[in-house]
Amino acid sequence: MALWENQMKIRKRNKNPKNRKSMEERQSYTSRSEDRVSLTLSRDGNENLEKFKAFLEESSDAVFRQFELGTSGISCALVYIDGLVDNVVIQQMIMRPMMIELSKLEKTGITIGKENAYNFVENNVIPVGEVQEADTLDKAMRFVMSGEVVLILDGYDKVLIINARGWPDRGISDPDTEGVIRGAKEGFTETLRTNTALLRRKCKDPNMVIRTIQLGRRSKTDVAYVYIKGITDPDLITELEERLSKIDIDQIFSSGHLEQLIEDSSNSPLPQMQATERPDKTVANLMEGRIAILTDNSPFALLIPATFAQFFQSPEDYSERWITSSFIRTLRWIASFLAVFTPAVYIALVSFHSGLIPIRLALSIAATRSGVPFPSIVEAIIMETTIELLRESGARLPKPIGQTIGIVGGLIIGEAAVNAGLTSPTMVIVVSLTAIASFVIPTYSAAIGLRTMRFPLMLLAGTMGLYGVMLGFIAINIHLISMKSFGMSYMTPQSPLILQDLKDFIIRGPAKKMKKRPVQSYAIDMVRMDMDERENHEETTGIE
Amino acid sequence: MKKPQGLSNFQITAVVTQSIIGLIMLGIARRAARMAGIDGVFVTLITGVLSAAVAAVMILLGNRFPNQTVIEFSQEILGKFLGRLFGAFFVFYTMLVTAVTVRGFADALIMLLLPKTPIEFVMITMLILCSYCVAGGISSVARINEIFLPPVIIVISLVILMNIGDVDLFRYRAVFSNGIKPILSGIAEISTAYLGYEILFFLSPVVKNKDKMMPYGLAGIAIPLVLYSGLVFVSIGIDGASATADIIYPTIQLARRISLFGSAVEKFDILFILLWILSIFTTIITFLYMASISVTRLAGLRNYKPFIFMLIPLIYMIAILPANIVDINTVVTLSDYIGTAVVLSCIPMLLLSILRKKGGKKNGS
Repeated sequence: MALWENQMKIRKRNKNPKNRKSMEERQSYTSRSEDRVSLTLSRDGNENLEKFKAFLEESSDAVFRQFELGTSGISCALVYIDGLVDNVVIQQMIMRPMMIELSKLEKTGITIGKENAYNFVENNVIPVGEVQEADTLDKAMRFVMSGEVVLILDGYDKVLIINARGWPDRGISDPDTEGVIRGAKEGFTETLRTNTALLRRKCKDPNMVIRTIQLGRRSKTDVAYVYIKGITDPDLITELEERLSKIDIDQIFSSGHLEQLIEDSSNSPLPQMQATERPDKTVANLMEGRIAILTDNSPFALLIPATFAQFFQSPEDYSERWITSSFIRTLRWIASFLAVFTPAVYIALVSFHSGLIPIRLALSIAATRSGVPFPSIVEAIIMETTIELLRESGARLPKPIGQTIGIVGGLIIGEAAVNAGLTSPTMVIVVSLTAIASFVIPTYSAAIGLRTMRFPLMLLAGTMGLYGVMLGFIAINIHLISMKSFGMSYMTPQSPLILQDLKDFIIRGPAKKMKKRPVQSYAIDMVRMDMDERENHEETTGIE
Repeated sequence: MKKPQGLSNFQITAVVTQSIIGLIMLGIARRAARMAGIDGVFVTLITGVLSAAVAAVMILLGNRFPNQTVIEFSQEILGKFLGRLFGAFFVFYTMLVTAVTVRGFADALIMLLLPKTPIEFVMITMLILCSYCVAGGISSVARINEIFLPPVIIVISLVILMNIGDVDLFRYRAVFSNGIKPILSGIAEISTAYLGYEILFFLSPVVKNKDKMMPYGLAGIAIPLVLYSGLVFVSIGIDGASATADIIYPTIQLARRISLFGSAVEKFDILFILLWILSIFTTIITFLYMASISVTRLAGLRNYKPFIFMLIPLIYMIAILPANIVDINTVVTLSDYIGTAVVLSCIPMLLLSILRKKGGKKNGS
């Protein structure tokens, strides 16, 4: 009631002509600046400055600095956002030459008038590498908002854009989610330019193209897509550009958000693009013909097209011997099966097919379960939910507390739950095995997708036993084979079967045998390696 | 992205193999032993070769009409009326096979794995899952066949290889001693075990490399030929012909004999049954695909997906109708007769199409 009365009061006040002026004032806060000012620049420097002010006056971080060019009397103005620019560059490279050194120069006889000021300043005064020009207000505004400095010169209907970007940066650090033991220890940061520089450092091929577009009507987020000309399929690039051009949204929140806007099937728990924090992994994928999408403010690159098998690969596989890597990769596939199916199979065996368990094991399981008041399906769901709770709370808390949660949750609650008769020790083993197995999968988003699948599977196992588990297995497979990532079947190279790509699937073949790029990334240039002559000689003759 | 669409070569093999291997795999040795005794192995082999010959004719016929399925080109060869009659028979046959497979699967599953579960429940869940897959189109069907082929082959081979040491060659001492008659009746009996390659009638419009249909299609029959012969050989070799003829599921019997790693995996038969569910599933989806696409083409329509969901209740009703094992066997016999007729019809159709100059290169493309 009170709220409604309040609203009526506001309406009455707005209708009152005495309050009209305040309404107009209020409108200046709410309506967009583009609607109030014309976007073309005039020859009058002061008018141009006023237009910039109309946009930014209300923001406290906008800086408008007026001064004169040398002793010529031409008025100039700088517009920039404090905090996004490097103050040293502005003072030493822009203002100092324009104010002090130029007046020294004028004493030697050079005259600067309105007719040559613009070119003289651009060519002879400002010692900054990247200088552009803008002839409309909204174009200039976009540069200001991304940290460039606008120089307005009286008498010109265009402005100079000077690169003086410099903002606080996290610095390159160890990638948190994709650690390796042997391999580079640097990860992407939140700044797009740093990230592209990291890629350039790893691949000096001038054919590596970094194209940048701005997405988001208001956020104007820089999105860069990187590929190598001559390896990447042009059709794939066109497809990506088409999908990106269809995006019409106010803000791109993160690379994960962008991923969901351009992916093939939204209704899937599994990712269809590979997100990585690692520049080395990104460049290795570029070399296979994939495209990397970098989003500003996001320390992740998206790699397309992706296949399911890729989520089981770690950069470390390629640094270690192929035999050990193949062993570890096989382990990961087994782990993925365990993570998805262990609780379901346990439920099915205990509640439907106890005859299938070897008799001594069956007896000991029955003995541990004797005090538990719930059927195994309820017990399993309680315990699996608990471990997901622990995992989620551990992930959100600060690191030291997260570890405490792990110890309290894992050891104390586990032990206490068994002692209290809430669950059986076997169930604790099953649940922890599932959790550990799911952490073996190197890609977080794939691991969490697979973990989600085990809950419906547990219900199927609880209602139909092993037949239900099998139905779930078939349903998962139907889902996997029907998915695509940018036209590439998700289960490649298993289906459609590509024999050539099987050498980098469950086993990782010897580095010397990986002579061709994989088919599954649409590479148009297949030859990766050309060094087989000597080896063949040895193999055929047996002479060392 | 416009990438070449269509089934790859290996997918042809996978689809053919997986639609052949299905329900009958569990009882193949019983059938062989009942009709041909110890000549069962030979009968299985020779029937496989004969089936491959028929399949070759089928592929030749399909190659003459590269953009049509059997429902369309049979009308061209036989004329409108006879062609439609043939199409109607085909629809009836594929629905019957789907129903019989679902029913046989549910019966076997309840007997072997889930004694307390109602049969309707098993059948409905299976049919729903199959229709979900078939709704994804032939590419989904082909890919799921492809992905399930390696585990099915591995497990059946394991059953054969782990038991082959126990084969008593002494049991084969009197081979071919009963004359030609058991062999002929055995061929008639076993030929139904190879049914399923009718899918070749439908593949020519959807295959990527049409000239590779012949080798890869025939490879699809070679795989069941080897696996079936192996199963029959091991079964009869271990238990003898007369005992094998009395076992309902001799293949399960073989799987039960296996124990891996001491007694850690002593219930290998359950693992076998679980993987057998995969091969049943692939058989059903292939036949369901054939049934729904035949109905659609018979009605002269393009989009077959709505028909899947219309056929499912009908198939379920056919499957639930037989009350006991005798009724089921009647239906199975019926479907076997129609199936044999349908499959063999490709020979006169090929001859007629050559005589009437229908199909071939000139109006093929």
